[in-house]
Amino acid sequence: MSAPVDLSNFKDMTSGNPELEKELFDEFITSSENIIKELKQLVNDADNEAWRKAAHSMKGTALILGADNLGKLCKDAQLNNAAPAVEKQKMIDDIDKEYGLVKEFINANRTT
Amino acid sequence: MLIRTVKYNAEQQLINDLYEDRVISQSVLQLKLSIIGKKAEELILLSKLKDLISDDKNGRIYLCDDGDVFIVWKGANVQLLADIKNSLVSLVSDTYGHSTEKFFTFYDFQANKEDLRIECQRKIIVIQNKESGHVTTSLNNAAQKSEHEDAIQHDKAADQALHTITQEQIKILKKALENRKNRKNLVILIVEDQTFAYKLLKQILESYECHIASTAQEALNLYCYHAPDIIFQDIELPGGDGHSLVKLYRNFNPESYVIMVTANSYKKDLEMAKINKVNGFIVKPYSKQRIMDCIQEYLKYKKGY
Repeated sequence: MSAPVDLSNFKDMTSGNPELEKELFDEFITSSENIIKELKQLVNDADNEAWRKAAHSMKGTALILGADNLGKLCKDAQLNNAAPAVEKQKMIDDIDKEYGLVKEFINANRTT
Repeated sequence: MLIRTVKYNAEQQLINDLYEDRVISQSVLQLKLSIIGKKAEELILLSKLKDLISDDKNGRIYLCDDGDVFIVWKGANVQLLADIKNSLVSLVSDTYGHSTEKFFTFYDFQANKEDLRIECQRKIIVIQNKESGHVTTSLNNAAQKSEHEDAIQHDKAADQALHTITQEQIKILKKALENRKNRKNLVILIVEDQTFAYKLLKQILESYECHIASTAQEALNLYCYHAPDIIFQDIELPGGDGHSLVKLYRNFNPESYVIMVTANSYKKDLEMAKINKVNGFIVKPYSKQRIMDCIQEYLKYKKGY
């Protein structure tokens, strides 16, 4: 099973700057948790556009970080923003689970 | 009935909804919580407001960053207006000692649509002025005067800035373009609302002078002020899409060098980018090498131009 995150591109972009990496890891965690919270609130909401935007936002960040599986799950959520609540619930559950793996990986690989 | 709550860029979203005629024959009540420096969540207002407009199929609540709340409901339901006011009067006057006269502003949408747009635009400019710190004196004056509620004329001028560049901004841009000839380093405008993404881009481009815009209006302001050599332009943005911004940049400076950056690989975005003849198109995730290649491509372009 591959790691939930491939940090090689991310580290290249940060030029190995440990303070910037810490700042960005923290930013990723904060913004992801806010978005997951928002998506959970939107499961039963008719605002499909808000769902789409939230999923899109998290997708971009996940892909840049190197969390491809998480990015893919967010892309699916973005594209299926009109799905019924039951399906949306499954999508957010999957995202939440994958995010947990990503967060664990990041925290285990922090230098600061 | 679920009530739509807009939490992000509420003023801009309300203006967009007005333009797209989603808010038709409706009433809008502005709660100026910014006067008492509180937010709706702090006063446990949201559930109360939702209960009051729950029967209204078009009911919406817009939560502004400064604490103001815009409540929208269908028609001229004066009873609902009275109910909302009554439920909040004691909170405002008893708890905070403020007169309720200044607390509420009501817009009969049909009659006061323009006033509502001006108010939203005024709030957007105040936010942009605080965040960018680069807006000209005349735009700052416009924001300050409107704070005293006697500057409808200035607000109307500012109102135009949303979908075009104002005359004042054109003057600023022309001056910036003149000064550009003497530049020793590239000036880059990064238009991106995701903090994670723009901090990384800024790191990659650390050798250059970078400016960040996270909304469409801010992008226009910074574009005019700095006349950037290169613009890394996100497509999905609060307050407007990247394609519209590219058209505006090119309207006033056809040589604007724009590289679209997006997490979507939609055909329609690619087609629009081609129509707008952008200089590059990057789909996230990008790499440091890809970004640096864009800089090299620009330098070759500039040399050959």
